Amino acid sequence: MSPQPVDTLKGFGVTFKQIFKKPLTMQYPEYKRPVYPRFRGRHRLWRHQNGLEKCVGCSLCAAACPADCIRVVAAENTPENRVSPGERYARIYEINMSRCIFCGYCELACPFDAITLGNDYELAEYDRDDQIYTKDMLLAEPIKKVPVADAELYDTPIPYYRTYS
Amino acid sequence: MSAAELVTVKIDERSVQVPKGTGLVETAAAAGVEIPVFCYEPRLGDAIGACRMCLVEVEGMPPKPQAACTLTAQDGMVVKTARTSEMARVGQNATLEFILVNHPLDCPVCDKGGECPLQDLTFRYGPGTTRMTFEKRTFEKPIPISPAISLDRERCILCYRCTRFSESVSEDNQLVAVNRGAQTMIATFEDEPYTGAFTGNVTELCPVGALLPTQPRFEIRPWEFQAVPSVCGLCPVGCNVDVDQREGKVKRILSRNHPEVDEGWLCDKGRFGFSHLYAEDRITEPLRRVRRRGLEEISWEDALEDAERLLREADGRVAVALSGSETTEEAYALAKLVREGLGAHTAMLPEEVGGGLDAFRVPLSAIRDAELIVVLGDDPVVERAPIVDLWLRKARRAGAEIVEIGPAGDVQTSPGTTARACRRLKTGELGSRLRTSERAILIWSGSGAGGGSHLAALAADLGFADKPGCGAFFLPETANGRGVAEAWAAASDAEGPEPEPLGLLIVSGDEAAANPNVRALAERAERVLAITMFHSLAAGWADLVLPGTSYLERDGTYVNLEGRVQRLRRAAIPPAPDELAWIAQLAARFELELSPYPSLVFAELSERIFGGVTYEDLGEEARLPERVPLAAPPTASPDEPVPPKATAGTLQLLRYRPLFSGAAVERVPELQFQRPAPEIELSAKDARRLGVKRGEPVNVRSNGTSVELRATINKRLKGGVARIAEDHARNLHPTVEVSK
Amino acid sequence: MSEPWWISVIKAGVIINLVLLTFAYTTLLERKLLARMQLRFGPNRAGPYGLLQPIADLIKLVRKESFFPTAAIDTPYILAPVVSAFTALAAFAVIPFGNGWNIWRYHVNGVVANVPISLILVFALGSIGIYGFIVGGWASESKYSLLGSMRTCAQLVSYEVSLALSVLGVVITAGSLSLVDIVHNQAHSLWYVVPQAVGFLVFLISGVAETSRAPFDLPEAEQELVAGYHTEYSGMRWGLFQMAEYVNMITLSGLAITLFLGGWHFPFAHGVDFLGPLWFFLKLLVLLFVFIWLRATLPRLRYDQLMSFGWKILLPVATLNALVTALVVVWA
Repeated sequence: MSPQPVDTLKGFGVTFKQIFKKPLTMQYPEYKRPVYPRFRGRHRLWRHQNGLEKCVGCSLCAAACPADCIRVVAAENTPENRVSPGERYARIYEINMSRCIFCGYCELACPFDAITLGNDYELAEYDRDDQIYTKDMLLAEPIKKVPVADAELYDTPIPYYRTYS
Repeated sequence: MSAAELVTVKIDERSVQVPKGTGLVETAAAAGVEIPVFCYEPRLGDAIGACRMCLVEVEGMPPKPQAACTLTAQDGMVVKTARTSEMARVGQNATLEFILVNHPLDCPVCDKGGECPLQDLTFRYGPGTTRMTFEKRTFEKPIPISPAISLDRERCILCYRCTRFSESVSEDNQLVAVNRGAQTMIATFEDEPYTGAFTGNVTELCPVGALLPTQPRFEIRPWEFQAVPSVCGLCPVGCNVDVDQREGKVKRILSRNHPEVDEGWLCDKGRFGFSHLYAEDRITEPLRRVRRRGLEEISWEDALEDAERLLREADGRVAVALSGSETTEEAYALAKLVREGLGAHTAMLPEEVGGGLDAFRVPLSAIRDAELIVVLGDDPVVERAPIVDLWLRKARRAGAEIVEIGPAGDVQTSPGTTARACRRLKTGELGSRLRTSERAILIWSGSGAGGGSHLAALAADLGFADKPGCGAFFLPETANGRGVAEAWAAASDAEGPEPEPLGLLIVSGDEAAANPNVRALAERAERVLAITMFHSLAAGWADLVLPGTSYLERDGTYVNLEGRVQRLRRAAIPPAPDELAWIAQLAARFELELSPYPSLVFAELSERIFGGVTYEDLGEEARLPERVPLAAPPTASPDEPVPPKATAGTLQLLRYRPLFSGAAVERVPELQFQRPAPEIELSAKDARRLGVKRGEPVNVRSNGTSVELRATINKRLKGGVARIAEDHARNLHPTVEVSK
Repeated sequence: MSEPWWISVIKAGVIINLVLLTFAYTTLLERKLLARMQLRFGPNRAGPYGLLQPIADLIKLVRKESFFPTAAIDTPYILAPVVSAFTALAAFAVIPFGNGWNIWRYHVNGVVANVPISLILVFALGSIGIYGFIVGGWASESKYSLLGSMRTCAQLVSYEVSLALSVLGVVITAGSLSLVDIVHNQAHSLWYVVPQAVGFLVFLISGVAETSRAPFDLPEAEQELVAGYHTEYSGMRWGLFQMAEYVNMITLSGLAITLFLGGWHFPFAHGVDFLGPLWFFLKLLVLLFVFIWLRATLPRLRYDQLMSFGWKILLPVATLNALVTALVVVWA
């Protein structure tokens, strides 16, 4: 490759001119770019509209998980303590967020639309033990929410699990 | 059986040669072709072809799919399975579609999911969608047909494996199919609980989640637990099991199917008895007796200090009460510590065990092939070694003749006279038949066996030593009595005097702690050191209690009643260290070299008593060692004293230890319904004499104690004998008075 | 005109501190300038406009675990960054930054140490500094470090020859090896950048190579050598290596200013020469800008390209330049 002195000098000119252009950086956290509606973020466990949990503790999500980060221990619903419709519910449901790769396989595997991947990605913790999310944490509304882009704009259909009880 | 004649069968373009009469499913498996089945289970007897899953096309037979499980291999047969035959493929697809028509959508909540043959076969041979748009038939579910098993009738695919098991293996006919058509369902008579020693096997047989054990309900998904191959340690048969453990806790026990020992069946005690590991009164820390305060927990360092102090203070006047459920390595370690370290040579085992029958060794499956079987003894076989009872039933179905000699047998004898009956067998008509038969088995099921020596003398006299098809079994009380006794003997050759007065009694194991004889000895001892699992057993009278472990939590070996050495594996994490670990530490304080690792202890031991076999040789399916050649005619040990015959008005008391008893079973809530009811068995003659009808309460008295029991009538029981379970007999004397 | 020894000491202290301060904020300048050329902000979180970023980096490095590989050979491993940093700083002792002032009754020289052969001293110190890199990489007992240090050594040694030869023209023209004299001479004539343009160019290019800056930054090529000779260094030990590199850059720019750009003189006007350090500093900033500009624009040279360029092109050009200068000076 023969030397190109003129073009090299033109390159210098380009970099020099760039100094005076406005940078393109979006300053996080003052500006948080809205995520797409189907963005795979923090998991959420859902309830039916009558308050019963959808999760029956079938452990299919644990079987599908490629990172082996879900722990499910099921128990029987008793008349005094009815947690989910049906025979069984998940007594212990833990997801180890430090192992999770956010692939969404658990959402695909769940036959009851009980677990889905929501949109939150601000999951930093100081301690590794805090990264194990228990069932209450996953059932509750997320504390830190991120802006989500308009679903209409991206032609994203509203998922079925949000429309029926 | 005659030598196998090989026939050639062509399956799916593959040729294979199999012995004539082999079932077609096994023939296909030999050729590497899978024929899916639901109802076919060779252990349940003849194939019935009920589920129509194994449809194949056979050339030359009528032009419709045939059930392969009902066919046997014939020379020149040409078989086409679903892989090459459109007819078979459509047939299997339709069969699955029909099965799924009324099958509920329970997979996520069904415990069988993940290990369900219906799921797997539907995936492989079944339809991907359903055409069922109507309501499925429903039943009330789940129904507990016993506290240990739950039945879900909607999931049942009516393969009839459970009813066939109940009818032709355990022969109790409790599970039947009622109603008909689409409303057919499995039920017990009047919804009584399904009781028996072998009920748990239907949960393993059922190909769907209809019959499931209640213990691990909802906690087992096959991808969440690990199966550890081990051996059951609750009775001397030593059935091979797979222990399913999750996160260090045992969840379920399945059979591993050793074809010579258990043929894939398990008794309920071994299957459901594991939850005693998690009983509330399980001891997890060493306990020391403090005056006026009872027991206090101490650390292991303190406990070992105390133990060393106790051992030294006893000054050689030490006796060890073994329970026979220790592993061979543990018994050897304890023996070495006491015999070599302390010079004390006294040990108690609940009964005498020995290798007297090694010259007549046969595997348990030889019972199935026998033509004449004689069962001697006071105790029913099913209470001592339940799987042997299944082998006997199988032999009877195959046409063998079984003669029971005992208080409730075909030949009635008084309790405690089994040795005499044994000697009488040397002559007489039965004796001569035994002498001429090529396949005869003797079984001693009771106490007073003298380690099997009476049986050995009889068998030697009958000439069994030269006949490989003939053998003798003695059913001991303890799970590893033989191993423990041999380990104790191997630890040292020295003899010692009886320690008088007794300085220290070491009680090893729960069975020993519950034994009233040991308890009586403990009263005489100055100090007692107990190694036990449960609080209530020895805590009342021991000075130092060290926590024990169960057979599920130990690595080691057990010697079963055949003389087979089988390997146990640790399946659960014990709350306290393994006995070998602290015995080794204690031995170090007495300058003894003892390894804390079972494999090394076994290597040391195997040189002396097992003929140098290694852990690797034992493998997963242990082999039965060869017969020991008969050196000299064995001498029988002296007879045990015969209990006094009943005088007029009194009855001879026959105690028996039921299968569902013991420290382990007491702590399993699901098995409480199987424990014997407070009943007394009377013979028909005595019931008439006393004017007692079945079910009436009677008062049973002996010198000083009396107890209220319900009367039942056993028509086969000898007159003058009453039988009561050990749990209820308590302090009654050998002769009792019974009145209304 | 000698000054008391204690003034030299104070001056040395002040110069060292100023150089280190310049080094610290050169890192920030580089990051922000590089960012701007790449259409992004540089660090702007630590302090207003990121002005506290070097302090944050310093605190981070000091708090970081300086791990010690068990395989490393103790003394050379610890001393290597020290040697590099020391020689880099020491070379600044002979660079003149002012005319000299009379403060109270003492005379303060415009240079920390006025040595007649200061130019040779600078080159000598630079050569010793190379030892630091080589020994550091080799004492780490790691294959990446060894390879990195071998490459670094080869590169630095090769370009040092061209560096030395390129200043021959200046020495011949000025007739002295003392940097103070060279600066003095430039006050009366054109700055040497004009007659010695070729020499200046060669000096600049060799200088970029000497300090392992882009496009000659192969020793730090992460994709090939992980991190070259400083793979096994972390925490403040690595900080010392970085300091050595940047201070080398500052020293070299200082040298270029001294030799070619008139030192601390203001162009054309001489009245403001008492502000010598200021003009020196401004010229330094310009040269640092050029260094950073080069880094932002040019891709990295491959090793064989680098070596062939250094030996086959740069060296002959430098030699030719020296020859021509000598001939011109002799005949004119």
